[in-house]
Amino acid sequence: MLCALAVVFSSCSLNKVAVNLVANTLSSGDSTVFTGEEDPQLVADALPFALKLYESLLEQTPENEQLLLTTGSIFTMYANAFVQTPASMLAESEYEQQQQMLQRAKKLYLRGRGYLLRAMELRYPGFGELLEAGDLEQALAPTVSEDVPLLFWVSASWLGAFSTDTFDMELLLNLAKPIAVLNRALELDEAWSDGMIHDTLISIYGSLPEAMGGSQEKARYHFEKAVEYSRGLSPSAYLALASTVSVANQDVEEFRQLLAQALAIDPEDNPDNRLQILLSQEKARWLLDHIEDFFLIDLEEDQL
Amino acid sequence: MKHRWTAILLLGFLVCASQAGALVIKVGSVAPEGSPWDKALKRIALDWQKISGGRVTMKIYSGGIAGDEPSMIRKMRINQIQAAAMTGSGLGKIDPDLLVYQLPFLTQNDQELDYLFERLRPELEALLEDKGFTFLALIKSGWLRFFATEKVITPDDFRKLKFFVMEGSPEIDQAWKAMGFHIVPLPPNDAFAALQSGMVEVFTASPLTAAAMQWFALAPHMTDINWIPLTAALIVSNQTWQRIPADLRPKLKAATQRALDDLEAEIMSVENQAMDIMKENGLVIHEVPPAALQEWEDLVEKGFGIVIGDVISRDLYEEAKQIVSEYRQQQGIQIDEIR
Repeated sequence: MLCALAVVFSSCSLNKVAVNLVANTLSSGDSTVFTGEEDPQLVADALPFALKLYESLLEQTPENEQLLLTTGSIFTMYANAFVQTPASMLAESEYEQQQQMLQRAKKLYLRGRGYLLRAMELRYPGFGELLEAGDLEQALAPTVSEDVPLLFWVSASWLGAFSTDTFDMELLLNLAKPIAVLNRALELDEAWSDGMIHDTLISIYGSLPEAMGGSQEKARYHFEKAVEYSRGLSPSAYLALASTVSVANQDVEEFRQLLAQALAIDPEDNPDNRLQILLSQEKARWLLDHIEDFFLIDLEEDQL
Repeated sequence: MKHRWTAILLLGFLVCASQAGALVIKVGSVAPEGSPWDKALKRIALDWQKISGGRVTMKIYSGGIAGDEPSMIRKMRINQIQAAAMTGSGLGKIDPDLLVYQLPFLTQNDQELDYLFERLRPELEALLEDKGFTFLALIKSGWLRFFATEKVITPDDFRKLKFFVMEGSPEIDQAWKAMGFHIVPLPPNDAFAALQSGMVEVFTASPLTAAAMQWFALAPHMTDINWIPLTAALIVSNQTWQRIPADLRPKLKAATQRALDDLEAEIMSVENQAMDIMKENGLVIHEVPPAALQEWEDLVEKGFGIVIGDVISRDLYEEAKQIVSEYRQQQGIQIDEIR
């Protein structure tokens, strides 16, 4: 049998088959081994190794679209959950460290975006050129519902990089591109991943100035949709609205109420998303502990 | 339910920590979170904490959390916040005379502005102190320029176009009208739609704003005139400043000015990037010959003559003009050579 195989495949191609097999297994998207984890630190420690493994596999199989999607999305998630978010919770006295972490997060996001755009280019040759030229309608027109995960992660990695450095002129002046990509994903499948696209749009419309397209009305609309599609089992929608619209309106009651709702979610009701719930709830607790940083209130006078 | 690598995107990164027993100064700012201005305030906070050994800490409220500028002034007066980063026009809400160094075309480059401001500084600081505030440091943030749907070189070119101005400044509107401009006062958020519909055809903005808001795409002709200097100042209520130990105050002021000097360089770098990207995307920059510059200077003198006396005291205005004139004489060069 082995001899027969050896006739069919050279050692090089055999190697490639093995690599593809491993790559496809790792990037199948069905596993909850990370997303269902109850120990966030374990995931934080394990992901750098996983990312380097994926990159090694990509060297062998650079056109594996699924692996490109997995690698890009995990770079984005890692940058967000384990670099940018911890940076956001550092004390003011750790400002320099915070800036270094944000710069690192930006690089990781952009690295992820690179893999994701490569996957888009493989699916739709010429996509990158059209995007670069700002011809968003033509670039996105051929995409179909199967592309939604890729479209979402392209947008998320891009917006994530922007959120670490909002005065990077290149990112700022191209902001319409990731937003158009995200809106295309919404158009194709708004229910995808329990309303994750709506979730992200809360932050976008809630945080951008009106003159740049921000809108509290839109943020609230996407909040309602995100809660509906996640059946109220995802804390991130509550956090997104609280951190943007409630803070902008200085509505401390709404802020507290939304975060209380986020904290009331039982991770065991949604075990596949346990990691995301635990991370979001950690941030929610931090926000409540630091409420004075976001609201002009005197806690001694304010009845908690 | 499907699993997902969720993202807590765009949440912002406000961080603060206060120390028990320290004087905590709440600082309001309308600058966006993560902007160069916001970062500079955070660096100042860190410096103050180090210099004072933790006795003076700042809590920064960026992005308009503490309200708009008139609201921040009110909040400083009732001690809800103790300090604020104010734009030059915001300072004018405390006392209109503070607008004197930022009149259109009075100064025409950074050197003239520096000279004028330093000469007027004792008077401006005293004005501010009378109103209850201590001036800590000033920062220059570039200049307002003209952006138009077509080429604008002379005042006559400008008069042919509908001019977007921010609503709410009727005295200044009178000046524009005296210059023969066809003004369209609107809220700032309406600018883009008004440009799209043709309701307005020319506006003044910093290159950074024109780029960030994508206004330049609809008004791709920039006139190379330094029209109005953009400045900002960090001010603190007198009451709070007096609570800081006297020996610390000069050190804190010096650290603040150092941080803002660094910020100036950063803003210029960001603005240059914005200019490069706009040029790559079709922005055309029109130089203005000396004869046309003279026309603008004469026109502004005539137009703003109306508001002098009503809005800004005439003596102060005349003094400012005299100082600029002196500077130009000292430099021994003609007006068209210093631009």
